[in-house]
Amino acid sequence: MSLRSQLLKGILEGCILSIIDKETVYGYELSQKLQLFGLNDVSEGSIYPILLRLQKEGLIKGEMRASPSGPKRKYYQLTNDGEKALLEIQEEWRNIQKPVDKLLNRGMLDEC
Amino acid sequence: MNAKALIQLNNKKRKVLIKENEEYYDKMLVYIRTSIVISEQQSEELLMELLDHIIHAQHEGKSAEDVFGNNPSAYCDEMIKQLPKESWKSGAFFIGFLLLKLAALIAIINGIGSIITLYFKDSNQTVYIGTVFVTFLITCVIIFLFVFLTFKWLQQSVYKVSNKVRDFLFIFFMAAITLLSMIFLARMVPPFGYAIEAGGYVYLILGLATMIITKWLNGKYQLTK
Repeated sequence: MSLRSQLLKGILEGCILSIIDKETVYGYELSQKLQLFGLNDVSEGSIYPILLRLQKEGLIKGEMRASPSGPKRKYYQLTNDGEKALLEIQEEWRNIQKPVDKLLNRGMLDEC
Repeated sequence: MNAKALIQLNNKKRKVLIKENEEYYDKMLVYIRTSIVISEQQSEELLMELLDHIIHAQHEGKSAEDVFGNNPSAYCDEMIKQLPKESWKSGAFFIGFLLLKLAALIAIINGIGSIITLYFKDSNQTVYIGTVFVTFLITCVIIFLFVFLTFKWLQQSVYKVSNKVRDFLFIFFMAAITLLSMIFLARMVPPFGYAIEAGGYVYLILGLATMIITKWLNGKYQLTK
């Protein structure tokens, strides 16, 4: 796996938890939301292995139930552990966001 | 919604796929379903999600390949790795059920067979409990191996260019080896254990009784429905 996709995968987990925290969603809806936030580079299919892993780790749980439009869909919601994990990820992200941004974009700033 | 209902719904929904997407999805379906150790319920729920996603994407003019990438076997492996295993209990219960059914079938065939032979010649009707038990055990192991290898082979062949000659030879040898080993291994077991003068009728009655029990079990626990 390329470095880039590994990097993205870890971050994507946090993003998915964050979306599910706001509302229960089903798979396709989740991929649309990610795109809506501008993560267009994420291939749509990559959410399913992540959803399975999050379920395995007990951070989210899926439940088949009828959707407003009729057909049954698998909706995901955060578990208590999931909420805790999301808080941790948010905290960690806040800690590294600024320094990483500074480091990685140093070249650009120097040019200015 | 249980696995059987999901499979039925899947069969119905799949019809709306265009040819290209259908081919892509069918391969994923076989690849995931032939992983026998993973939970059936969970894998059917996943397959339904993937199908729903393709149907949505199709409406937007995107193909299954656009959604899931150009390396479906690696993609499926990644998901199979994350899927929970079938619980030991439900797996054992299901296999036990199948073995009971198999035993009933063998007993009925044996019973009818010896009743018919008895009309033509006076044959020895003695049955040795130990021998019957060991023979049955061997038969079960062989059948289990056969099913397991066939599933593995099916899974392997999904993303390979098919070769008719090779496929035929594989199936032919698998079936031949299975049948021959069932016949010969069973005959090599020496008579031992408690001997009973069981006629064909005893076999037939026991077989039919077991068959009724399996029917009742199936009705109660919905094992194959």
